[in-house]
Amino acid sequence: MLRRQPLITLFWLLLSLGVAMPLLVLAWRGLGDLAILPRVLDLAGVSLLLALVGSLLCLGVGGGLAWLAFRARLQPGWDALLLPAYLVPPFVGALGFLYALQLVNLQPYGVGGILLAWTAHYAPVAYLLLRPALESRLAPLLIASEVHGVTGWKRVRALVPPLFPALVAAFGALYLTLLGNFGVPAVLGLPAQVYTLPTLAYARLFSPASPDPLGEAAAIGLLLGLLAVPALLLGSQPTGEPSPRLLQPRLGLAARIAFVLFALIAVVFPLVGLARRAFFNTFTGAFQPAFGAAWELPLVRLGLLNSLLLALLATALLLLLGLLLAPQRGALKRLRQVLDMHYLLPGTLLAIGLILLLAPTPVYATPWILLLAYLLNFAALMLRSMEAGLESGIERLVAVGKLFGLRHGWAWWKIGFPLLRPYLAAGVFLVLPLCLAELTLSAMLYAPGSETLGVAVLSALNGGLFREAAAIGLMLMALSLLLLLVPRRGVVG
Amino acid sequence: MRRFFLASLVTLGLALAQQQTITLYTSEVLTNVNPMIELFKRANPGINVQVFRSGTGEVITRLRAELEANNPQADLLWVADETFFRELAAANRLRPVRATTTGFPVKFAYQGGRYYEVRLLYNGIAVNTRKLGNLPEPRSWRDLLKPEYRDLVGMPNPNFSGAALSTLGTFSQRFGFGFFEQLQRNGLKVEQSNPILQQKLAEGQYGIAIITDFGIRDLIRQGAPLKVIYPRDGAILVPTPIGILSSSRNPALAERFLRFLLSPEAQALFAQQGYVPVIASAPRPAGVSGEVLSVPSAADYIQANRQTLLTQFNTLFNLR
Repeated sequence: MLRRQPLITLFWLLLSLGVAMPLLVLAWRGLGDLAILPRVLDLAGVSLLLALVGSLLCLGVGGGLAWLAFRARLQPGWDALLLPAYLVPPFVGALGFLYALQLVNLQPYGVGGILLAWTAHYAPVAYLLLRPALESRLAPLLIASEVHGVTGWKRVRALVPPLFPALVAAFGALYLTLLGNFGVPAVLGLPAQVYTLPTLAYARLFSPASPDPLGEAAAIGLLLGLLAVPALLLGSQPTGEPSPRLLQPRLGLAARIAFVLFALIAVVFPLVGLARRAFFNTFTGAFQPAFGAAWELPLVRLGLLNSLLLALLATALLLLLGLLLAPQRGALKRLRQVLDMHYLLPGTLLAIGLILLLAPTPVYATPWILLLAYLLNFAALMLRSMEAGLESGIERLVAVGKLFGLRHGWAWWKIGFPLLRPYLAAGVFLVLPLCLAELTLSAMLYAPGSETLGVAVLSALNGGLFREAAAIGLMLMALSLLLLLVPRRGVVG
Repeated sequence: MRRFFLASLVTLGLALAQQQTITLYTSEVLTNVNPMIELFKRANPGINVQVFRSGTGEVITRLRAELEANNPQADLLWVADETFFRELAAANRLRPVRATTTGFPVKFAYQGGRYYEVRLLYNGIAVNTRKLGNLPEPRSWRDLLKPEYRDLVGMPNPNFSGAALSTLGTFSQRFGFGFFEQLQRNGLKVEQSNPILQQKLAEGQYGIAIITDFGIRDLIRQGAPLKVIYPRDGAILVPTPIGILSSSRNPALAERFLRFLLSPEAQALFAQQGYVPVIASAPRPAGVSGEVLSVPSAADYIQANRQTLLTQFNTLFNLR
């Protein structure tokens, strides 16, 4: 037994090394092109500032909604008004805002538009992260302060500090997401020459003015990784339990109005923008749906097929991986920790790393490189969901089954896996829409024949096919919203 | 039922196995290249053409990286930068094709048939007549410097668009780079590509554009208030050649595609799409009568000064 330990350690070491290989190659190549960094430091500042302000805005809006829902004791059913905004892919939302604001003669290109699209998409994430903390941390304190008559500023001073860990953790998660976001700045930033580090890495990767496109993109990737590191050190996601019933509902009307208003601004408004473009001729105003023209583009048909296949295959493989590892919780946790790097660090790093690593191989320019990228990027998310399930004591029940004579595998089959089902559904609910509307990795790794829906939207936009882009955007929106039908309990929503 | 399912699978498998694929890397706009491929496929059943489409700059950078990794994916390259074809030809990376099409001007079979011009496009001036209102239409390139056109003019990004690189090189050689500095002071803005600029021009975000001509004609057909103006000091004839890579896995099919582009039906489709066909006997695009007064793109100058030109331009317009 003792002899096996070094072998196991070696196995994990080699596995970690293999998983980290894209990042190591990126670092190696990037270090050779550090000369570009002084010229892009201003953009690192823009990226940093945008991610910080965006995270604060999301926290403000999502936290505000969480507070109102908490005070009004809103039923979980109301969350359905916030979820669509999160399910609509961020770059589709950005496209929607672009067209909707143009309807009222505003040009949302640049910082303002990016922040608006981010807040609409990610405020629900802040809500989902903060609501449980409000329930578990704040409810008892609020009841106590009501009983003891603590009001005004004193009440705020008593209530806010216990929330800090949850706020910091949520801020860290949002900051990492926004820092690495590619789609929104690609739609609303690039046309106005407003770059963030992910869009700059993309621009350099395909720039004929660059003497070493890959090296420069890798160096920018390194800088992006550097900006992400501090947030990696912030705490993990908060969890919570429902608050006691003693809490009296307040601000019911305000909460309901706020939820409806958010849904109107974050979903209905961009939807109107997309629909106006997709259904009506821009110049004559005549009713002339662009869906046929969009469908005529082989890129769209292929993109839809590839996105569906990749999303289903990646999700299925990750589910399978989770199920295989569920009976070995320690291994599952360790693997998740190893894979966390690709989930937490911006996808741009993984994409550049994979190009560097696989460009000379037959995998390059095939859908398989995309599948590999999706698996690496989203594995930790699925495994986290499984971990959450295992923490609820399923293993103890499996052990009881074994006590009653069930074999190990059978006990998991009959007891463990059925109990894990809500967590599996939650994992699918998280991973499937992300794969379906993936853009950061696809934009850099796709090749003829392996285009995705995200790439189709971006190509249509770059090709000036604005109406077709709106039609594909609407299609993606509908597809993503179908996921609201996935049954989910326990973890999300 | 099961038998039917199996038979369908086998048929599909056979169909896929029989289908041969060539890959085209191009900057040709999707709405034009797709119908051309459909036409080709109708005449050549069983051949599939995969397309990677982006701006010339992006297509070239991608192919360059693939060549560096010794894993090029393209069978055919069709972009608006002749200098890159020269580079490829010099490195013996292009496969010569003998010109046999009747009526094809030999001057458009470059370097002994290593790459071909298959239709002509010009950089001219396009205006949004509604946005321009009572302002007079510009007649020459230098008119764009007039203060009355301040903040009205746009051009595509030469890092992305090969046609815009032609504009950059040709004007820099002809008028000096100072011409762009003057344009910038007059409020010239840069959009990523010709298609994006033409859409924004049509929507009235610009009044004037330095732009390729064919797409404007297409938008006019859709009802956009646009007009193409060929300046009296000469539109720029932008070379947009196509060539077969010597690394092509299907050189015979690639050659068939290239020759098809010179066929009467393909030339007629080019005319329908707003291009000027390269073969004189082919129909002319609507709105173009007679010869277009043009100057050649400054390919030699661009080849010698590409990096400097792009760096100067990027600095002037704060492009990364």
